[in-house]
Amino acid sequence: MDTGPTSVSLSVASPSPNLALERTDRWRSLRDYALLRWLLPLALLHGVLYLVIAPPWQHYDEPTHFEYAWLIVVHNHIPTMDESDPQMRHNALESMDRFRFYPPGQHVDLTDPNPPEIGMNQRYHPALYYMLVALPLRLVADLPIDVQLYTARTLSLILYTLIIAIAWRVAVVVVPDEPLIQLVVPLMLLFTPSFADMMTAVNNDVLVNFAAAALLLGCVLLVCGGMHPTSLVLATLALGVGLATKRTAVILLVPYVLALLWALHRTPLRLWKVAGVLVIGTLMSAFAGLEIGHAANGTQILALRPWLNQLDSSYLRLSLDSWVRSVSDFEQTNVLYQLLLTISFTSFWVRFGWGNIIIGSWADWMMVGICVACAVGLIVQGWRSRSQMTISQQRCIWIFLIAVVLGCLSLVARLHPLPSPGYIPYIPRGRYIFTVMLPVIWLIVLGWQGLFPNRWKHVSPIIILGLWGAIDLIVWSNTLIAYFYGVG
Amino acid sequence: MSTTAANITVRTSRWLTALVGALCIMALSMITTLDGEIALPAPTDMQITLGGITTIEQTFTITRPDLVGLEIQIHPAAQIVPDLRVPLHLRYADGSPVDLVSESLSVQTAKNGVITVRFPLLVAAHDLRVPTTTLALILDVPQLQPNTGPTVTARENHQTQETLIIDGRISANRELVFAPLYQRRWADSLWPISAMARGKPGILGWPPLYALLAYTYLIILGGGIANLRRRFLSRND
Repeated sequence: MDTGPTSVSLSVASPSPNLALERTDRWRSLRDYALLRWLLPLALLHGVLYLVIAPPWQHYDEPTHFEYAWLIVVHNHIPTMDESDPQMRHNALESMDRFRFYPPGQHVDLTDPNPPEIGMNQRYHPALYYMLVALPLRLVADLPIDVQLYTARTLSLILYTLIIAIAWRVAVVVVPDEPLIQLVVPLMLLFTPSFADMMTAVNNDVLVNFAAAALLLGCVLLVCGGMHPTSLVLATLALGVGLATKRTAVILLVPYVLALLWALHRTPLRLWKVAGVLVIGTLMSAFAGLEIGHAANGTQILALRPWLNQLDSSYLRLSLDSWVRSVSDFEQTNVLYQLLLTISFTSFWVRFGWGNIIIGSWADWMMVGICVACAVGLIVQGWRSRSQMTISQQRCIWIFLIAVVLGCLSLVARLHPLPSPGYIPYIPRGRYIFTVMLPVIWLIVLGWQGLFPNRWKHVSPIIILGLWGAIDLIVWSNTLIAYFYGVG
Repeated sequence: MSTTAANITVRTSRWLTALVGALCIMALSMITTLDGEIALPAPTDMQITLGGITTIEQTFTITRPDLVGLEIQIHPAAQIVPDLRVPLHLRYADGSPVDLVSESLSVQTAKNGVITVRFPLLVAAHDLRVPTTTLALILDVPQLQPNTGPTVTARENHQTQETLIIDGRISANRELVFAPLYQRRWADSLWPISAMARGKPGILGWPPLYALLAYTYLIILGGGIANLRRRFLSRND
């Protein structure tokens, strides 16, 4: 009985080394989260600014994305492609007209009992995102349509805020000893204006982007910490959500599989072996599935072998043959690729609203300069830091790089199969690869560091962060205001 | 102990400064004044007696969005008609005849020959990039003996595209003399918060919100950066 209090007082007076260590860890962990206590309100306010500055309906396909969720709320089931509600369309059109959605002088006929379409039908997308949006929408179903739209945007705002927290966590996991990078990466993502604009819109891209960020966190946790159940569940769940939201998430399969492999096999792999397996695998697959064919104009192109064609037509139904023929028809695609590069690059960084709002050509060229410089810097950095980075860090950076390359390739793939000559195909916008925005930011930060000598390396991220912050400030305080409100 | 107290004092004073700043921003963004285009007397002014007239309609173009009133020149008659009221309507010149404003002018309340009509801020459904909208001011004159009753002022104007219509007949090269009153928000010259709030639902329709949001964001950003800078500098020391 007497020993109890004594032992307590002893333990308080001189804590065991383990307890002290545990307390230090806990204290450090609390201090780590102090940054998040600042980042989260900042992200939330930044998102709110973008949310309220953009008038209703002024994002890519916002009316029809909203309509999809609205129909779920009202009809209590997932709507078919043909379902619509004339009253909802009337209300939406009236609101669009009131908020100057249409060009000056152009107004819709609100007396028409069968209102026209309010944009491109989005109901070919999976319903997951829209079911999520429907949850808060149910609470405001009786309020005016503008209020409902802003409520739907609020869900996006929450996901945007969480993405910034995820970006911070990814940085903490990948570079635990670099507090500056832990700060710069989430802040740069926060400051990327095109991303903030999209992430506060009603659009299923928002959920895919969130899933992609969560997947990336799962991947880096798997790579850095091994096959831990929490990391595995996070990555798998995020991939599932992404795939169940939009097909653009398919590219996330590769980082996921890579992370699983690297989580299982944590010792170094010989580079030439990996490269050899990849090259031989690709060549064998190509030889097994493809053959040389001829286009209508006689030029040589690739075509599917009959067995693969048969499999595609009877089971896959992906029109693979026309896709492969289209991709390998370089004569027709040459000009289109230039167009794709220009449109997707500018819309990735410096286009807002429906892609019609621009900062100015100086911003386009500045982003070109930064990206080219960072690509060079990335090579320098890769060479310079190859011996300083742990194997986990190297693998995380490989995952970022592969995700970005796959994102770019997916844009090219989306261009195909090309329509008949004479018709201009839809040129995909950069927003389709906002799923890889976080890896892109990582590569920009790493590449930027590579441009500076070692003694400047630790302050260089501040410079790029300052540039990003300045562009963001220009966009929300001037560019968007000038476009939407006619002054600025 | 004294260091902790000093830290608390510094932190409290920072919060208070930020709060005072927010209050100032809110107060400044709420200041509004009235801008009127004063109609000075002109040699071509003429008085139109309302007696015998049924309607007077004058179209005019508003040059700014926030119309909140009109100053109409109207002179009571020498023989005072007790409590004479003239219904006034403000509508879009084109499109369906929906009243944007419907008021009844009490002629006896005219001060120095001017009646001021105030109404809630009128959000004209026009595109801000083309800031012109044509409205119609309509006076429904009550039945009076011809050439009796109050008078309104009209004047010659050969330049204007706007039209004066009396009892359905266009009165060429003449216009009714009145001055639109616009609400002017001082903060709009820095950031167009009135335009940002215009037509939006609930609290989003309150202009100071936008100034407060931007201010809070910049304060949190600046405060955080300053804090981090101190932390990094102390770590490097």
